[in-house]
Amino acid sequence: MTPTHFAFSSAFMLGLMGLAFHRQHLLSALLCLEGMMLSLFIALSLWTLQLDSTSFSASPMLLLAFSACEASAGLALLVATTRTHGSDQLQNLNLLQC
Amino acid sequence: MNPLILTILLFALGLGTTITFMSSHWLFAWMGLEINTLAIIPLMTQHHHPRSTEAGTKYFLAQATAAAMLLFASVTNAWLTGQWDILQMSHPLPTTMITLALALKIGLAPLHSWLPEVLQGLDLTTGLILSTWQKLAPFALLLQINPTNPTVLIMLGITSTLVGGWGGLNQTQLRKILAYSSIAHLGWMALILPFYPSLTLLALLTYLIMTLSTFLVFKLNKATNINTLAISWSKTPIITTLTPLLLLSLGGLPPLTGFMPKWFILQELTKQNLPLLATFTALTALLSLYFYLRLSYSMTLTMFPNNLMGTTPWRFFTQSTSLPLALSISMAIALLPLAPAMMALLTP
Amino acid sequence: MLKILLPTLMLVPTIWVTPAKWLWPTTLAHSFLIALTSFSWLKNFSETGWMSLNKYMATDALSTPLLVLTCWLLPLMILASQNHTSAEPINRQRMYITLLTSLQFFLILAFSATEIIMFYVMFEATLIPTLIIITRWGNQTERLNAGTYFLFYTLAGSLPLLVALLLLQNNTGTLSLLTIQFSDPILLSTYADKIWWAGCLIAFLVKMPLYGVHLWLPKAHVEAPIAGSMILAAVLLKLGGYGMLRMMTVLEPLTKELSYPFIILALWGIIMTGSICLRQTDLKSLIAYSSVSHMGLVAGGILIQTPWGFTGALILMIAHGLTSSALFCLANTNYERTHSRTMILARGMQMVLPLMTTWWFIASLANLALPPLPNLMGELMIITSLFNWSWWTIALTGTGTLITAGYSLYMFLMTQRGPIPLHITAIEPSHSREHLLIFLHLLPLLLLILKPELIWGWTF
Repeated sequence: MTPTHFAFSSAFMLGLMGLAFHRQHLLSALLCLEGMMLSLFIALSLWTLQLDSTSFSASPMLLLAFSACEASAGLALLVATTRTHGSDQLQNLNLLQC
Repeated sequence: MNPLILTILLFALGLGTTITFMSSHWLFAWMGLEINTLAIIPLMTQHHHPRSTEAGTKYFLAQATAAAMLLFASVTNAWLTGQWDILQMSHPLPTTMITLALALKIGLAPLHSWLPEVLQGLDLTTGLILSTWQKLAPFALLLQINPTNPTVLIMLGITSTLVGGWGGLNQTQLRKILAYSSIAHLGWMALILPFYPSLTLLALLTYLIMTLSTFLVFKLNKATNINTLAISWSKTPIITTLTPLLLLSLGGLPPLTGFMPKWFILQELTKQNLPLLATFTALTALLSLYFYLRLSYSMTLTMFPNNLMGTTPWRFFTQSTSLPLALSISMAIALLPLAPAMMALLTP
Repeated sequence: MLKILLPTLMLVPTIWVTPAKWLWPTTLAHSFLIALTSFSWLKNFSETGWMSLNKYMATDALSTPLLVLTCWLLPLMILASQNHTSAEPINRQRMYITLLTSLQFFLILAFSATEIIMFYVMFEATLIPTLIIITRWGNQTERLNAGTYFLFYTLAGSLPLLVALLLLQNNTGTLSLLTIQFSDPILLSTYADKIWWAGCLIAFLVKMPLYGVHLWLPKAHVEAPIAGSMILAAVLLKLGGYGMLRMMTVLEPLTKELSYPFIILALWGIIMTGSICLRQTDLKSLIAYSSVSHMGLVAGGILIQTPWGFTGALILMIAHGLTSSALFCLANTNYERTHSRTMILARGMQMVLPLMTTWWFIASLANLALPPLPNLMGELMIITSLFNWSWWTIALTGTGTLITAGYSLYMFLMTQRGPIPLHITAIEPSHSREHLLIFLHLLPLLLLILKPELIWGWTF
């Protein structure tokens, strides 16, 4: 495992840990998702740089575009949830449990 | 919802799955999954109701995490083996991670807990899309990666059949029951995947047919919990008569369609010298059968005492088209004699 | 085979097209014709034992009596259900007869299948119509509980059977009943093989039912409508016995040791269920427990694997099928008049329905195995072969016979003799439909003693 690999893997894992274990605010969950996406972005760009492959150079941009879409969808859901549930606390999302 | 937007969303929904189907590159497959997720979230939250928003949020979190894990696993695979091709997965670590990510995406136990809650928050049409069409793309990927380590899939499969049966026992909401039934069926598919992928396809196909007709029946009756089913005899008597057969078919009772995948899966498991696993899985199907049986009890096999107002709906003419329902319900009941044809269709 | 199967299938359009007025007579006549045609199976002139052979189905000396019994039962069920469904809308009546017909269709396929998996699928397929008959057309709310018990007891036994059969298929390469006895004997030595042995038999023992796993049966019988009770007692229980007789050849070297606990349980069950009958207040429940007791004897006869045991088991299965079905019909005539299954509330029936008392008398005597009825022949053969196997069993079987006589007498005396209770003031007279029904049960029983080789099975 190269240091680069270790770096982005640990960044991703930190983000995943945060998403999985820090369940207080929806916003923090979205931020963790963004962190995961950014680590993936770094991984893809480094892969392109390391191989010097031009054909692969669009992939980080594609990833970034998709993660931006995802983030905006997430933020839209954040707004909608806050309006319907009153706050962005994740523990408020309990209407469907039974 | 504006029909134009609805068209675009449905189109994107189809596009995402199609992209995943035809991709050989992990990035492309991931893009297809993302398009798929992003397209269904507006459909989920189209009614501005706390439940649907909550369902959308939960679905979004689960799917985004699963997609990110999938991409992370494929990047890791690329760094380890230098390979982006879906069919060329050789390293066990990324394969396992991708399996787990896809398990989260389709809701295999122990990664299932989002599925009942999300399905409960949706209306029946979106729920139908979620429990049928949305399973296709992850299954296309699961069938393509070469599972080097069957233990993960077997464990996921057993846990799912068990949890799917166990969780549904205590439910009175139809959509939650259907979610647990979906978990149990997916467990069977995951279980046979390392041994005989064609059977996974067969199980998926029969599951799709049966779930489609179940959702259509519930939609026709506008039923979301068990009690609503009790007056369905006054709305649609013939469908009410056929529904116990449909439900028992979901439970996998011979000679109905649902027995076919179970039979073949058990046969393959015994051929692989796993009779204990086969027996255990077969017995967990009894758990699911119990709640299907309860549904048929309250729907058809008992006459619910009703006041006069409750029994009037038969006077109203129903506008809904019944041809898809008729087709799918007859397929969901009587496909077992066609088992050789089905197998010939699905085996490469 | 198709000359029976196709008319059975064609019964369904008959049911739905016939005008309401002629529904019951037409279906009765049609099913009677099927039953009469099925008698042609009884003439077995084949040297191999297999008759009417086609690709998937055949009859032999073992399955023919059961097949004919199945076909014979359908007209009787239609005859018996006529009264209690008369208050229902016509479409529900049609649906009910359709269910009974589908049950006959599946049962014919089950008994005549030459492939064990086919037998298994049809064995399971009979569950669905029976379940619907019990839970949809039963009377009390407890019927739902009974249906659940029925379904889950049977399935919990038979899913391991499916796995066991698939394993057998892997080992021998065939599951055809025609050839499996000629395939190489499987070496059964390991611990897993013993479990496999149990898996092969437990489904049938549950269906039979063996004492200990019999709890579903009284519930199902008590809650089912009359046709459900009849077919359950007459044919469905025999599926278990038939399956065991078929599987015994495959399980050869292990049965000798492993069957001990099951034989003990079966014989102990005769005494226990007989004693339960002696203090039973519910008429249908009494007949149901008496079925368990008789089927225990059948299970014992099959498990010791002697020719006499097999023959006795088959004879007793047929005779008990007709007898218990007749008893359920008689119980139903009482039930339809007094609307109660409690025996103490319907005493002294001899005073009001004297001819029925005759039928009760004959049916009770058949139940306690009076000579010259085939019941006696079956019991005697089983008891003799059990005695030959180990003379200790005579204590259990002898006591069992005594208790059987006791509770049959108790049933007869409780329902027919004594004073009429005061609350029975106006009671409907018996119909000739009911007399015909019972007569058609008892006639084959009496005639069979003149030519018992029809139900002797393999040993003739």
